Amino acid sequence: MLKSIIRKEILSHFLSYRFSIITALSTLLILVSIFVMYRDYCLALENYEILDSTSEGAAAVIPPTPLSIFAKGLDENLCRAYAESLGRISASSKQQSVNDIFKLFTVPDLLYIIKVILSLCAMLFAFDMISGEKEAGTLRQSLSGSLGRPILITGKWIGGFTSLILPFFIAVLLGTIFVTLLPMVQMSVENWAKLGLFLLSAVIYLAVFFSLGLLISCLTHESSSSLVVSLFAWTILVFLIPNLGNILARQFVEVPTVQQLELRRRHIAMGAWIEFTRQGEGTPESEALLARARSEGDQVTEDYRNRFDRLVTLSQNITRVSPTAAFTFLATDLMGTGISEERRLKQAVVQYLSGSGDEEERDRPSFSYQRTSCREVLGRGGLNNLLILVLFDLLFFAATYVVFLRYDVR
Amino acid sequence: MLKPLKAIIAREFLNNLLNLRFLIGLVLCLIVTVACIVILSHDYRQELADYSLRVNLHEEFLSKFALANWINQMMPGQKPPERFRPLIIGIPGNETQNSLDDNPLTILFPRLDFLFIVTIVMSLLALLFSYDAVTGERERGTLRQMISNSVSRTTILLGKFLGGTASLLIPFILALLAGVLCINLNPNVRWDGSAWAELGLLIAASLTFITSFYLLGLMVSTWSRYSGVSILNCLFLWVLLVLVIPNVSPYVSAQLRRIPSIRAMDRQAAEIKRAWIEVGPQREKEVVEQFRGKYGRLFSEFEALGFGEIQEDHSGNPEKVGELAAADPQFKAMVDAFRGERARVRQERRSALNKAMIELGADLRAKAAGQTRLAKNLAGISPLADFVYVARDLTGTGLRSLKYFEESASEYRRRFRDYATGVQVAVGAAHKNEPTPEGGWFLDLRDHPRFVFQEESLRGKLGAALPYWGILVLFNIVFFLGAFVGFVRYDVR
Amino acid sequence: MIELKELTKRYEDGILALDHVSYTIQPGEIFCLLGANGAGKTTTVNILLDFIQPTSGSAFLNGHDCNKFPLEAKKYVSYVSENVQLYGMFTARQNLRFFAELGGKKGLKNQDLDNVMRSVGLPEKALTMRLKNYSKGMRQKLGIAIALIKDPPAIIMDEPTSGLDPRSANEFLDQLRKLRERGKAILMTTHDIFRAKQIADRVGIMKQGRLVAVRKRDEFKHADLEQIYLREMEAAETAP
Repeated sequence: MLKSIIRKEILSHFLSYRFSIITALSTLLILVSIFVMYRDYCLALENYEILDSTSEGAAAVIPPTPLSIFAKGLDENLCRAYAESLGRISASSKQQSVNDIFKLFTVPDLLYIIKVILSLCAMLFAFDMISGEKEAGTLRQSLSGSLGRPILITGKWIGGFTSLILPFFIAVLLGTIFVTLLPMVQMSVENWAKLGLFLLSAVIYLAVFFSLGLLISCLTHESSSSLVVSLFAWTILVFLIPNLGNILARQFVEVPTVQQLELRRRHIAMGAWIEFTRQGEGTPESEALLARARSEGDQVTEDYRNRFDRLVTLSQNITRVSPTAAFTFLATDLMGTGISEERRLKQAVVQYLSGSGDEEERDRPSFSYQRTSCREVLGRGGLNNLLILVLFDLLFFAATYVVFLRYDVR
Repeated sequence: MLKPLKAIIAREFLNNLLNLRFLIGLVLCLIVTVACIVILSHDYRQELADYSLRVNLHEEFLSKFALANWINQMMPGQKPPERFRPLIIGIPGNETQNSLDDNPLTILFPRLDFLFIVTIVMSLLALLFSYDAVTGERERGTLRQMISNSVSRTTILLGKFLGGTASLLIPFILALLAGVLCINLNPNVRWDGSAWAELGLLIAASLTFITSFYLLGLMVSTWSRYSGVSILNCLFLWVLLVLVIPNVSPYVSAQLRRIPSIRAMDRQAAEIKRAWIEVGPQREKEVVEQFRGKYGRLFSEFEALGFGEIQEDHSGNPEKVGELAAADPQFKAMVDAFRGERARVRQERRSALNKAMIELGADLRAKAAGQTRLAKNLAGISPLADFVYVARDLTGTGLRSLKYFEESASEYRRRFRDYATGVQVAVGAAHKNEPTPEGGWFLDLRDHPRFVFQEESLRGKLGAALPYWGILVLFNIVFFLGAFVGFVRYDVR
Repeated sequence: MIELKELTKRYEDGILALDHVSYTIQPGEIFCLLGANGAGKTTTVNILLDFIQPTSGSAFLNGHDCNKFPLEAKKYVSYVSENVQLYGMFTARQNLRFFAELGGKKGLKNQDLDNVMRSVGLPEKALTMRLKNYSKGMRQKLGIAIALIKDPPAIIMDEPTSGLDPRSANEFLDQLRKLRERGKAILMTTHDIFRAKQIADRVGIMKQGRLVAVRKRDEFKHADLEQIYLREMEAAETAP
């Protein structure tokens, strides 16, 4: 009986207008996104290769990851060239800084498509699976036989979700094939594993919204009400909580602005150089002065970074209430374009550039950095984010199950 | 026509008010708007404090370290937070883009502000209110009932539009009033007449945007038979217009109108400089050869004295050259001619270098401007992008105001530099018999002109915003016409 | 007065829904249009109400061409549909007021509206009840109230007794008699031969778009209308 229900669900979805439009939309968006982000990746790679070949100024720079095609995250930040000058570490400009329109809008990568658009599609698939059938009278018809409610709701979930995920997989597969056939993209085994995990977490994420849509359908008796409530829930989970969470965190952890930090650091460095040139090079006083200035600058920087780390941690904890935030953190960490990766890279850069001491630039070994592996990501909080998503799934499905057992089908 | 029109408007209005979507819309708008404005107002207070601190830090620094040779690196001119910051988060400038430390959270999660409320929440709500304006009535049978009376389809459509948008705008206006009250109660926010006028215009622009989406939903409803199909079509269009087109446009423009990679430009600049450095000694050698040929032994003597300058290896004897020049007019003439020629050659090279760098920069800027323009135009296909341009231009939180600030800051720096030069000249004159200390004289700049950023006039802002506002109005007209055509042909059975 | 002259409708898929149908309904007359599903009854109603255009021929309401001057024509008609749905979140009074205003009646007091609703047999507590709580019978009565409040010379009813219990149907017919007494010209499409026999002054029998027979009350008052109907349908089948 379960198989019949699943088969019926899949068939009715395939024949529906909704399925056609959502399939068309998701396929188009996924392919466009992958193509657009691939071109962006090529430009980033070109920038890296230029820098690498010049190798002047002993910059610390890493190549862009091909996984940024799927989840760009902070890769633009990560791939800047870092160099030291006047005791301060600075980063090169970003390619996107030449076109100001980038500042107005969001990156349309696969991560964005999944977390915003496909989550909406998941809810649209599910919002009237129960309330719509009740309105049509078919729910009564189905339950008038010897069909148990648990079987019905389970079959609906499996059939509905399968119909949702199939076009998604086909589109992603097409996109991935396209990407891998291109010469510019070299995917290592580790990258493939990360991509696989990313897609798995995407499936779990979409299941969260599908289950939520189904739950809402079981809590309402009219599909128009289900729709309104579903869209309301989607807006809150996808947009409000992640964004409000960040703003809220800033109310509890005071962090000076980057402008203030830069100004202080610049003043310390400049003041020290001015005093240094006044006192003359090579004197013990001038050397002590430089050391003092360096220490003061480091103190200001460390204070800022400590506060900022607390802000990021608090922000992550608050926003994890939304599955979208948990998924974003998990996905970007897996793809090596997340906040943890950025933090780790900055630490490595600081170590590389300040730890060289009196070494001449040309004698310094070139900067080498490996992005975090899958295992490390999962071990350092990635697993928590994954578990949060799974928990949401179980919670929503369990609630759906319980609510449907008492659903008034008349 | 007016009587039935009023009845239809009233009915549509009341029908929406009694609907669940109205309640949800109201709750959502109120909570989000008030929360957002309260938090952003708090942020604004913090940013104002941060700004004051930076200004004071800089004043303090100038009072200790304002040396003549370092003045160019000590230019004041901090950017204050935008006065509309409690409503709309501005765009960060490029001044901190080279910092090691920045805030990655804003990249992963775009910030929540008034623009978000209007472009995402209200546009979605507008579609929710209108997607079944016609299909729902047809399914219920009430459309047939209405049309069986002596009332034209135009009247019905107009009534639905007016009644529907009136009910939709209630949550928005209420939420906005609550938000404006919060802003008014905030002692840190001091808005003058022009700011309130800008707010009024911003609200008007928001209404134009919201009604365009209501009309889009209405249009889709008149071209659909069933509400289920109508909502899917509406959401499909919403995803395209709100989420896809604006976000993809910059990337598409980057492919269509390519500009050199920034690293390639850096490398080109480095090569120009390197070539300049390489050519430098060569050109000076030529001058030396030329004078050697012309003055012979006399010049060789001058050369042996290091051209009257202390060289890197501490050789050179300026005093001896001075003595010889004083004793021998021919020698002096030769020295003056040589120094003059060398200075001319150096100036020529410097000018050539500047010209090459300026051309390189100008070329990049022109191409970047072309790409930006294309991106802006592509995104303008979406009402969201047009509204964002209008809103940001009107409130001084956009790219235009960034440029305006940069121009103002540039102009201020020029005034500051002139002032500092004046002080420097005075100090130099006062100490003309003393050797110049390392780094130059200390300058007392306590009375330096202060940077007060004046926002662009309302007229200027409005002028920039009007074309995009016009496009929004056009969207309204097009969607209404589409709804009209759809409804006139609509099968009400 | 309701008048059809050689009214013809062929749909886009080629189906001939009406084939040169002509008849006139006088004031104070109830004309019941009988026929199977797809006979053309609802198509007739749709043309009269300008929901669709005829292929040829004309329909008139009080002398005004329904399709050339629909707004003018519709001033003289009220419509009661098969399934009166109206606005579920509004009360009966609010629904009635709205449709009255659409029909050109402004400034009506609650008392006026309530009187009309009482006159069609709606109970007191139903007057301020929301429509979503109404039974089908109550909604049909409200449909008549809407027709009454406009007070037009013609009333069109599309299968109004479908789904009504016997008592509600009888009450409905009582209302129709009152309307006839007030001189209304009433066109009622129906499958319900029993009710048609009870109420009609004339009966028209339609088959596949053609009006195959018209019988006056005298002809079926004492006869078996069902037999007459079946005979006419058979005759229509065998006719050239």
